[in-house]
Amino acid sequence: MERLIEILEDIQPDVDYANCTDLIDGHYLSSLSIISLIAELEEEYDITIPAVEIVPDNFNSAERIMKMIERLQEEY
Amino acid sequence: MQLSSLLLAGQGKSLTSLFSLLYLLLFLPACIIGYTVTPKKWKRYFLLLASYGFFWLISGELVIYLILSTFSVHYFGIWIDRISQKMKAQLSELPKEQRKEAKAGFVKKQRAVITLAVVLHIGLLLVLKYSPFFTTNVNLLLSKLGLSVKLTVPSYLMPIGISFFTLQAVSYIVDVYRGVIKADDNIFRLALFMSFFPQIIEGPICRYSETAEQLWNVKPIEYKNLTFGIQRILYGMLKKIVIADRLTLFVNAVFDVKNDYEGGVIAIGAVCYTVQLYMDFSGSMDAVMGTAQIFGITMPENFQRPFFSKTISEFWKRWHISLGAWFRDYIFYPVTSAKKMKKLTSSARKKLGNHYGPLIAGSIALFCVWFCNGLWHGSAWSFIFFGMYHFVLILIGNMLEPPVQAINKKLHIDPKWFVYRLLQILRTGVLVVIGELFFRARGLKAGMDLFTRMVTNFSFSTFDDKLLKSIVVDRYDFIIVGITLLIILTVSILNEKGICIRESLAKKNIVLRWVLLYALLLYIIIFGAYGLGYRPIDPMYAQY
Amino acid sequence: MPTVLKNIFRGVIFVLGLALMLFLLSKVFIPAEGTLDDGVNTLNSNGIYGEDKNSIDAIFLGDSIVYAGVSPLQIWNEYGIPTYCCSTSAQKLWYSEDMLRKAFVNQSPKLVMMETDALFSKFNFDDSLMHKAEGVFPVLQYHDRWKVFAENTFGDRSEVTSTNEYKGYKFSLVIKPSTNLTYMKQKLSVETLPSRNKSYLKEIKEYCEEHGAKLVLFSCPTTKHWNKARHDSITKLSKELDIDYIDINTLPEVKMDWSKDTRDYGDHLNHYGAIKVTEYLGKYLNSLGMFTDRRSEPAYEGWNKTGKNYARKTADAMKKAE
Repeated sequence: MERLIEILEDIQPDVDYANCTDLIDGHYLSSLSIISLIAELEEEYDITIPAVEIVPDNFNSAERIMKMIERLQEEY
Repeated sequence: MQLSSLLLAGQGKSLTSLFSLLYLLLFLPACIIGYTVTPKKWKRYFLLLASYGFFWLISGELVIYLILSTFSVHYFGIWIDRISQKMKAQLSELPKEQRKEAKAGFVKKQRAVITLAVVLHIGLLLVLKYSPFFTTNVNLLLSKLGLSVKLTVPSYLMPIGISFFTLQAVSYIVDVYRGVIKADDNIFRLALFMSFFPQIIEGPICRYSETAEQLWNVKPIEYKNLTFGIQRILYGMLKKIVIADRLTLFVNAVFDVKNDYEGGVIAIGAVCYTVQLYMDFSGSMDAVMGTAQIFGITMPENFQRPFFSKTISEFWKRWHISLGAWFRDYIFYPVTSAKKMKKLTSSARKKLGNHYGPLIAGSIALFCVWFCNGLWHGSAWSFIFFGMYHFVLILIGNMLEPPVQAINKKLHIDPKWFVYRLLQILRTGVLVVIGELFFRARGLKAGMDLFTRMVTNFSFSTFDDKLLKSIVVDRYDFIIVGITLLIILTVSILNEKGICIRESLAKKNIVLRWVLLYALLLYIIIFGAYGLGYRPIDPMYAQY
Repeated sequence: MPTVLKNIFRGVIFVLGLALMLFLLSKVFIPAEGTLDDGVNTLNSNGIYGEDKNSIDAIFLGDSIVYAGVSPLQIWNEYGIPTYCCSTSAQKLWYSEDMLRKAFVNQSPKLVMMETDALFSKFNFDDSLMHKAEGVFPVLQYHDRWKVFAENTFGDRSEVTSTNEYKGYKFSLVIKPSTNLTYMKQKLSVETLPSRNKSYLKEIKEYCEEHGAKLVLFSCPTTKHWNKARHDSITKLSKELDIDYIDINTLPEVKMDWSKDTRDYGDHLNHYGAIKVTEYLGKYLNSLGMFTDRRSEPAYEGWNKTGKNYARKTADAMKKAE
């Protein structure tokens, strides 16, 4: 989780990632940030994030992002 | 064709407009009554029947394209689902280490199926819609090269709405492939999703997950839905008949007739066209949403007060939302999340930083989106130019974001300051109007010509009653359009602030509500641009 | 169930209220007959209102083909028969019927010459429903007069009775030749009249009979709108309904020169073409023996004056064009 927040802060600083729950709906993360984030996450966690996973629901909070990562890691 | 020719004899097939008397006074009431008397569990089939009846009335035997499309995606959906099931069954039997490899095989197979499906559907659309444009240009190229070979320019009968239902079909099949939805085993449910009558001409482009279940589990008509639906249709009529139709004569004079109007007049023409297009399209959407609401169905909104946008990219998130969302989900993200693109993003980010790094991959994807968006609107160079114009504007907007932010900080300008936002909104409006000028012009050359004249000779010295009279309009036309726009602006501002006027009005007493409703109806009847001397425009988006 | 009934009752009351308001508004919006505002869009043909009572002996009914190809004043100058062109651009049959009724308000022509192009002009459900509704609530037809009210409040504009100096004819010397010279030879397919149009024609015929007028169908030369299929179709129809029919397209004595006689590639005639067609029609009218030469009647002095004026003006313009 800490690593994830580090990545997020690296991409878009000045957001309270630990507590924010509307990263997308509140326009904290732009579509460009999402593109960076996905590339970083894939590299960091050795997963593939397919286009279908790119929905606000999966990116609205650090917790949700973590959940998605865990789910993708478990997939065979 | 007997019935169809009886109802629709005439150059204008009136049913293609949801504001025609044929639709409002005959087709829709007949549907409401038929729907009400049909027993509950048959209501969904009644809607399906009504939808196919509607499509047949406007397209005749071309309804075959809709039927074939429906059968095709139904079959492909089941095919992909089968592969998934087989994969699950086999993978659960394998030890964990071998799963990844086995899965790859299945995924490959699914990819092949989905590619075939998409190629078939988009291919049909391309052939029907773009082959005349393509062959004309090839011929031009051949003659430029001095070759005497000439391809025959094909011409096909294209059913109305094919662009819309094809995109729905593709979104369905891709969503099945992505696992967002399960393939539909019921062909009737899928057919209703594809053909629901109010949306077949001009959209919105719905997702299976948004409307299919709603349409299938329809409820009896409720009083509140009925009145709200009718009110929404009337509001659309106000936009379409009072504003859009009234501007036709002036807009046509500026864009269709060869003339030498000065720049100011052309600019007014471009603004009028932008207003006309918005009022026509969003008014039609009100009629679509209103009709759907009568049957208790909530459709995704297609407009969210686009002219309050502060940037071009925001504008496109508020204008024709369902098309933008389609391009985002089925072109933008797939392109940016392709393996090579991701690598490009990671490495570029290290060199160029957080803002410009992802911009490279993003811009490539954006280019694809806007190329397709331009083409989708029509097969002509002016539409491709229109797409590229917006692509470049968004690209420039993205490039300038960090420096502008820096400057604002230095000058202590708060981006949330009222005046700053107003200027942003105005700037966006001007850029949109210029884009629509090219969009409306008869071809790219004519657009360039109009634009040059607009900029080089910008004055309003000849814009007077005499000029208006030569176009058969007068200042009263502009006054009534202005007043009506003010009404709509007021409603929009309230909506933007999150106030739902209809809900609060519904709580008021019946006298006030009726007075308002009568006022709206009489306003449309008196100030509407219909009858002798006016020719209603065909729904503008139906041709796309 | 009671709530459903209550709601239906409410709906009915609402619609009745609307109907009442439209009825009252109609009283306000309907213009005085024969004024400029009564059909602002059809000024040329509405000039018939400005003519003296019962002064017109024959009218020509139809779309733009008629006002481009038939010149009443030429007939007057040659035979002394007062006629008028009740034609409006893209006239649909329901409007022809309207025009006819309007013409009979002040006039009692003995002959109605109806051009056949309008017979093939289709109209949709909305057009005919709207037309019926306009009959019940005239405000639907005259709603645009809010502009007149606005003008009267803020400026001044009086209601004027209109007249037309060429009696509905539209003069043009523009030449844009037609190359379609075989239009009466090729037989594309059989063209039948839409059934709705046929019933309108029957109504028009009955109306004429009731008012003691003879109805004659005629086809004005046009290479764009006319062809063998349409000729055959109207020939058959006129026999069926027992109406006289003349197709000027097929008459060898009317020598059309398509390199010169049309103003828009064979769609409408110009003045050169109109002279030939009118010459024939005048001869035809005269041969019917229904009319007397009124040139010496004192009531028609005005006609003599406008007739002379017309002859001079058109001759001057033609000279200038050469």
